[in-house]
Amino acid sequence: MTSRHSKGTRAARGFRALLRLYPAAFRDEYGREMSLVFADRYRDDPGVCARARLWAEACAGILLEAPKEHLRAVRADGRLGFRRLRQSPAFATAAVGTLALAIGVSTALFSVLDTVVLRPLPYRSPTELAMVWTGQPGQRTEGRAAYANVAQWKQRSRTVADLAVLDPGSATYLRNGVAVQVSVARVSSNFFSLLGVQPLQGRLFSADEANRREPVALVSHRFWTQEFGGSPLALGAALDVDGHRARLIGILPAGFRFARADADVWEPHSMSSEWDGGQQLRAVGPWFVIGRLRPGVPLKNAEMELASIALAIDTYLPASDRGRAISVVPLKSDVAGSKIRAALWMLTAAGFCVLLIAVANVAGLCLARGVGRIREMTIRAALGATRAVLMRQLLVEGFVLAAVSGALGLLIGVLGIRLIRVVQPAALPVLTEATLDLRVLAWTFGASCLTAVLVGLAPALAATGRQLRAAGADGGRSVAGGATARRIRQILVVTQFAIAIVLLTGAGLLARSWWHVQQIDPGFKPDRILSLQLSTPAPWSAAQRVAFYDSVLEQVRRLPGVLAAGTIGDLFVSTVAEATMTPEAESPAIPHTFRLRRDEVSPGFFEAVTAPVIEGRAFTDSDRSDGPRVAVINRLLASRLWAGEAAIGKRFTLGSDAAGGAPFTVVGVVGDMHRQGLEGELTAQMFEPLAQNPSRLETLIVHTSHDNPLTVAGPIEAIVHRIDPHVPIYGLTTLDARLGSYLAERRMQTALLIGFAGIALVMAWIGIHGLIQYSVTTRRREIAIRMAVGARSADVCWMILAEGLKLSATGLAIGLIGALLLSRAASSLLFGIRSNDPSTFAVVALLLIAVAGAASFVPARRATRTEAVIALRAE
Amino acid sequence: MPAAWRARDRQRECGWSSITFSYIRLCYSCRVGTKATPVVPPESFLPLNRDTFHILVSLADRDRHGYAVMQDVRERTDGALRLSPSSLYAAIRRLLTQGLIEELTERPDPEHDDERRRYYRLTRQGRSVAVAEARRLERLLLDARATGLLPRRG
Repeated sequence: MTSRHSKGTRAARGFRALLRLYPAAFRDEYGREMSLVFADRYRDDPGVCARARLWAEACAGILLEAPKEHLRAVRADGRLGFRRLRQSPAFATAAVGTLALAIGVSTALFSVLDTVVLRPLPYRSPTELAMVWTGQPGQRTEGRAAYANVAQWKQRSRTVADLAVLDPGSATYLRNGVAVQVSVARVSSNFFSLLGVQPLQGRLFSADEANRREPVALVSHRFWTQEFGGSPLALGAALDVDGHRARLIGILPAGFRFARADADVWEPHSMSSEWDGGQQLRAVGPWFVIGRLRPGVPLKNAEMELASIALAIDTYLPASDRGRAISVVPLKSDVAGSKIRAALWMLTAAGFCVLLIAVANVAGLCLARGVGRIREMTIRAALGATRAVLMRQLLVEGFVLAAVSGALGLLIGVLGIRLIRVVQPAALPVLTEATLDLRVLAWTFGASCLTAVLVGLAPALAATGRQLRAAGADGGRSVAGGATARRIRQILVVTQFAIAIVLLTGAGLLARSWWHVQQIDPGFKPDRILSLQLSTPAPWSAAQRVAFYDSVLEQVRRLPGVLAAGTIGDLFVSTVAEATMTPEAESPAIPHTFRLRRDEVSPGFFEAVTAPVIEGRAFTDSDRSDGPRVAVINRLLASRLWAGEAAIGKRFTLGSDAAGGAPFTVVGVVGDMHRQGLEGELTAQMFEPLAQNPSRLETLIVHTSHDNPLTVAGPIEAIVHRIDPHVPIYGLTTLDARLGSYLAERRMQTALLIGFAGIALVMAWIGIHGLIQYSVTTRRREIAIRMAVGARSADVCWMILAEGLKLSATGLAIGLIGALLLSRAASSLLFGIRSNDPSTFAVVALLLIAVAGAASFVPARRATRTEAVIALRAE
Repeated sequence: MPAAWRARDRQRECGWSSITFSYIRLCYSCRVGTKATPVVPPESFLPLNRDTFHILVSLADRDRHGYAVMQDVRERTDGALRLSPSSLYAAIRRLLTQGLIEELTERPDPEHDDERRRYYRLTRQGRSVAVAEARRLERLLLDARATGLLPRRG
């Protein structure tokens, strides 16, 4: 029976073409009927209008229904995939476990990156905010500015909308008569409005109040809940801060934080003890400057404009203070230094590498599992399933695996984030805000999708290749059987090796940097030294302070177990400001401006920290306030000012000309001390006797004979309290701990990367072992034939081993190139070692080849034990 | 696909079109391979999709093939509801998996060039579901008349 429709009118043919949008199964089932129905309607409704309408309905209908059918098929595949997963719990646990862990770890790391680096700052239009620094041209500009200068810049600038100043510090707060130390920040009146922060309750202080030196203050939310229990009656209360009574006028919102000043009490800038009216233009000052650029103004323009304004103002400054450079840095970069950001990017990338390796491993597992299903696939193909259908099923199975792993990985990631919030490595306070936000979720989702595609693709490509029919005949055990699968696994193993190389090299470089940092001599011996900080009340005179410190030191030295004691302003500093020094010489006296750290130390300090006095002497009790001004300088400064000569007896003044105050006489030269952490560069340091320049805040350094220096803490506190109960003690710790905190960040990075590298190595081992094992199993026949025709077992062993070594060599080559590029990118994290250090690369390469050899050796040996006859008979 | 496989497919895919239906199916523990579809209360299918109801209605008096159903629906609704081939067969597939209609062997239709077409017939389950839906609509109509939304009869 011939059918007119099978020849098809053009319309019917067009409709049949549209039907191709449906999945093949549906088409086979209903396609013919649908074409008939369409043809009937076409015939029964003549007329252009009716036919156009028919076409429109048909197209609309198909476009709506076809995706639904596809979805239905995918859902069916998904249910099947789930069932298969449940039926093989061992495979499911291994695969899901590996992937979930990898996804979870990379999620947690990404959330840290997100919190610190990617998330925008919690202020109004944060991209317009910037910090403004001054400095010597050519050197790093980290200098703070004077108030009058800032006022001039604000007045004259057209690119900068507003400038505010900030000076963080600490103050004594009397809580029910007991003195405690609180962090305080003095800010200009426009500081909060510049950031766009409104107080939770109360109000901000105005410019008038600041100019009149009104004792008002705002407090942080944390302080409010701690001291006042969150009571609304706190407004208007009087706070005893640094001896004056400040009136609480406002409470800041809970989430407010400013990176440079995590202060509890915020006062007007005029309340600063160093406030001098702010009229004097100076080269440097104590104020941090925050600016808000006008919308749309690029940073460079603002920088150039401010530089030109500074140039214009320079005419009012003495000649030596002129020519300072200005740099404008986005506030975002100021929150986390570039080193921390580089470290976080590196860790996130490492976590991602581990994820890729885990995916490669699981894909290999899926492939191994898939080999057993070749027969099933062949039968289905013979029954009419197209390659697309089979691929779809395998892809969906991979997707199911990835979905389950992704969900579990998200849970692990959340736990990881909670852990990070609690542990807070790298002491970044902003990490307490690490949460699972949209970006992190998107990352997890993206990682899971990537996993799905890669894990599903491997078996999909392998099991539906053209060798399907040939392979199906003997279940994949033939000579050519499983060739595609093997090739894909080889690619996977090569990828794993390459990534493992990258991670191992990074770990090796970091480990060596860590070792170098450990070798640095800090210039003093931190063992068994207790450090605590004292803060004397502001109204005390210099004589009172000297008397206080002297009596404290005298009594502390008498304690049993105390070998030596001394004071210094602070042993560890974060930044070193610049100063000008003029060494006394025959005219003309040339002033030098450089980074100089100036401290006052008591007699006995250098013995307490065991800093070697190279020339001359340390301070003694005879260096009193009425005596000649003396100073001890460090070796760096001595070589800078008087290279080659003895520095003892030389004189210098601070400031740009000889009239800058009484000259200092150098009485001693000490060794260089690392004051900015072990990795910070050495700076010029000068020390004055405590008696000649006592400051409010001093650090007491006590060298004890006990292994745990904190045992003398109690008696020392008792002594201080006995002498004066209004002097708070804070910052009680050991010098070891303080030095250790500088190393903590590097230690964490190195440990994490070594951990990742270890995981990568283990996975690479498993990968290549599995591959060689698989290769031996599928080539059993070939091996048996070879041995039957006379190959020695050593030859066979070498043949298998060679496959493993060839793969590892390829992976090595790719990985080494990648490692070179990446280590150059992360070179800021290294210390004392080049990013292309050959010995590290060589060691890593040898290690990986050894691992590959060892992993291939066992299956190779097992292959040689194959009895030829038995193997062939088993077919 | 062979008919046996189709039937098995139908068993496996417990109609997902309504959550209540799948829950009730679960209660009746539908298992792969059982020969007879277990009896499900017709109320679990309500309310019916508009297309579905019209198809069931058109199959109520006699067995039809796809095009006949389409024509019948169009005539009865005076051209208001025109089923496109895709929506028609999507609905037919759904009804087949739910067990409300069944396929008959293909036989030629003399009215439409003797082409071999697949005929569909209402199952007992389908009939009871259609009746239940009709009753539901009737009740709604009574309510509308009772409150004066529609003029009372007579």
